Amino acid sequence: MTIAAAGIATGCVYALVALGFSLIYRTTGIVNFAQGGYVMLGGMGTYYGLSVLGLPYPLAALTGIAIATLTGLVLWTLVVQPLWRRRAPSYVVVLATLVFVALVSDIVAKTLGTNPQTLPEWLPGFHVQLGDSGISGQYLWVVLVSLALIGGMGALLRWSTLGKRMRACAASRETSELLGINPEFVGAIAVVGTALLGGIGGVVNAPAQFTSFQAALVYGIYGFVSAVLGGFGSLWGALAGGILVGLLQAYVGRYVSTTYETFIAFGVLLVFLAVRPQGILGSAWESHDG
Amino acid sequence: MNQRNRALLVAAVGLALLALPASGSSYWIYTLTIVGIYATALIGLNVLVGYAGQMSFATTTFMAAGGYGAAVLTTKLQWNPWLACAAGVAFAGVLAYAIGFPLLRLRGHYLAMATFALAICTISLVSGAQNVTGGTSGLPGVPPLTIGSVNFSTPLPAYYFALAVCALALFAASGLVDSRTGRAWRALAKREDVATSVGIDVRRAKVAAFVVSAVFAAISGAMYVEFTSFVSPDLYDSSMVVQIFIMLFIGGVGTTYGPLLGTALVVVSPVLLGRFSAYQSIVFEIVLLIILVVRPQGILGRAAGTRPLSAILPAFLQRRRSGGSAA
Amino acid sequence: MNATLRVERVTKRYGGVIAVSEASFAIEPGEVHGLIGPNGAGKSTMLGLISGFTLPDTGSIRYGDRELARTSALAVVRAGIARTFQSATPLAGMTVLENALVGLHTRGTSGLLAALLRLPAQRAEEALLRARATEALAAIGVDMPLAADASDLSFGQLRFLEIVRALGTDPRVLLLDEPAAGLNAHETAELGALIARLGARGVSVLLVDHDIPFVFTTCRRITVMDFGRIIADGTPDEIERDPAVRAAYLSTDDEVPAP
Repeated sequence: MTIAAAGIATGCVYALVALGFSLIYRTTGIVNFAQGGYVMLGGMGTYYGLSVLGLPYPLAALTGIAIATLTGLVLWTLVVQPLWRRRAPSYVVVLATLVFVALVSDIVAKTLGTNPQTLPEWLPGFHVQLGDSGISGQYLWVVLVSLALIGGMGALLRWSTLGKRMRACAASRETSELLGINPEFVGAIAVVGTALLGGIGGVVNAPAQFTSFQAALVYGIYGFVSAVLGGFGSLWGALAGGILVGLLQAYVGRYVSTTYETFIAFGVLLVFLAVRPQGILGSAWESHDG
Repeated sequence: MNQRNRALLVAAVGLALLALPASGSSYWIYTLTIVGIYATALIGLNVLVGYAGQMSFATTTFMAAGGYGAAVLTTKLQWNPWLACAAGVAFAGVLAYAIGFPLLRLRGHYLAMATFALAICTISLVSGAQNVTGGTSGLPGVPPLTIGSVNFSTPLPAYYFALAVCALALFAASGLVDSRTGRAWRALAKREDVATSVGIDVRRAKVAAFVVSAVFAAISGAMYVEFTSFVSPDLYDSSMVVQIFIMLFIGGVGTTYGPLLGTALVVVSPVLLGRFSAYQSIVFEIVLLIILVVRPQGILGRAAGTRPLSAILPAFLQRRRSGGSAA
Repeated sequence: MNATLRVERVTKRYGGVIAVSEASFAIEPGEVHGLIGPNGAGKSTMLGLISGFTLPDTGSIRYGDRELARTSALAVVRAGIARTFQSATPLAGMTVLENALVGLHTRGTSGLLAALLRLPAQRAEEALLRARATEALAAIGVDMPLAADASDLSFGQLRFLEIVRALGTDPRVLLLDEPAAGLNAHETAELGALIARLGARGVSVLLVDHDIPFVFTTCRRITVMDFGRIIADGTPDEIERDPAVRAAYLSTDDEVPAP
């Protein structure tokens, strides 16, 4: 049971990353591999606030979230926006965002060290009873916060004006321009918004699991796998995919082997990409082709 | 620079390279050997990315096929090193052919991610298969390639061997540009529907390019392991992936000599970086980002086919610059 | 081997929209056949269906005794049916000559290995193909600098390059997607002459265009579409007098066929 709980919790974080992938893809047609970086920055940024700046926990958490969000802004302004304007081939964007996340990870490694870190729990001593064993209550926070963020994002997209604009951009960049929507603004919101989400995810998750500079790539990769599995571009697919990947990883890690964990995850990804790239819930459409 | 001057320049550089060992600088002999070995893989990758326009992060996978093929077959099964290398290269080719068909149906980012997954799987596999590949510690004591009394892991023979292989790779790849095959690739890179409309089998053409790049990568991987007598998963990790792409883009993707120039610059960069060598990966990443965003055609590439720098300015500035006429 | 291209009861739906509905017509060998209709009539879809880039929901497309409706675009090309694209599609970054050479892809046989090794046979074939491409470009009737980048050409030149490329496959049927759009008077005349030459050589031509006078003077038979259906099929004279055709055009802003 504890395995399942840990798997679901991790899966929710993957779902947040997957959500980021899907959202940005739907609004700009770009696949942004830096998504996992925000989760890492949320966690490590909070650690920075706590240990280097000596801030109280809530402020440190805000610092972490702020760092993640600002990084998203930098990514948009300096990397994604120029490439998008130039209508660069999608593989260039993939490469650029991957390199960006590698850069951010390396900077974190150099400034904060390579040791994995963890953060204090939100409610120390909060345990949840599951059957005959208990897990840290932090996992519950992870699930709740993630679900709230995903649900909130869904509501935003559905009912708010901004959300409608984002959906228009997803359909067609040119048409939405004609309608007076500024696709670049929408793109910026998407990138910065998902950075914010990722940062929050990182802050809530770090107390449950260790985080380190390597987390960026790991979360990015598993988040991408989740997005593909659930159907790229689908919100609920992101959640489904994330939880599925989280559970798979937890069970495989426990019962099969941890060395081959990455191999199996990517093997599954490869099989899916080869056989059913639209994922479980997605439909076979590619309106933004590379 | 016109045809004739270019040919002269190439010939001059070639002669200089042939005569280099006379200078006695063991540093340069070693460094250029490494450049030659890596450039072979880059030349192959340039065919896939630069000509056929298909993204692949899987170069390290095929380098590993060559490298581990050579190492495992010689140290565990006592094969002749030449045969072991050939087997590794052949395996890479077959693997590329088999994987290529399903993978290359994917476009743009999906293909990029699939090949990235392949690269990560490779590291995971060779790190985990302790008994066969020596796991994370790798395999030492790989016997060198020899012909008679000539040992190709010693400085001079290694240098000329690398030079020869690299030159052959260059010769082969540049022969492709003005050929039916090369044009088919360049056509499908621009417009797959147009390519299909003139009878080009786009899928087979993509797979062919993938196999070519895999074979070149495997040759490079095998040569490196034979030269250093050692293989380990570190040779193929994610920082190597980034380095490969810097080599590809800095010189100029899609040009004939770009991969060579790019490889040389990256291999020599620790010297250029001096005190900052510890920050090498950060510098590489920043440089690559700048190239991708600002000058994607690299040093040797022409800007034709990409829009000018002004294209990344906000729309209202663009209109002012061009004085109201269409960009 | 020249044969008749038969489109029989072809239907194509996109979601709830019917793009082409139960369309049937035929193109005889060597016939220059026009396909006209108001905007949105389904002409481009029809061209996509015949060329194999779009799969029909029902119906058949036969060329001679070959059923082509559900084969790939590649198979259609190999059956001898070539096409141009509506938006001029030069392969940018490649020269005019190289664009023409791409069209000759099926006329060559040397493959990857021969190119890698620069075998003499490959070099010889390459020279041969270059000569043929140069000839084709010279014969097309519009001047084009061979070494220029294809994207530097004028609109009219692009259209003709497009046709040279399609003709490289030595097709028995040529599908032209709005080739006259944007051409000046001289170029239009050259285009008409070119199409006439093709017809005389036994190549069937399907001409999809909005330039009604041009279609009327160039084509022997014309098929008219409206809302995905075929509303008329006959000689230019018959089409001119057809009340259904006039009605279709008058209800839109398209140019009305001259009386």
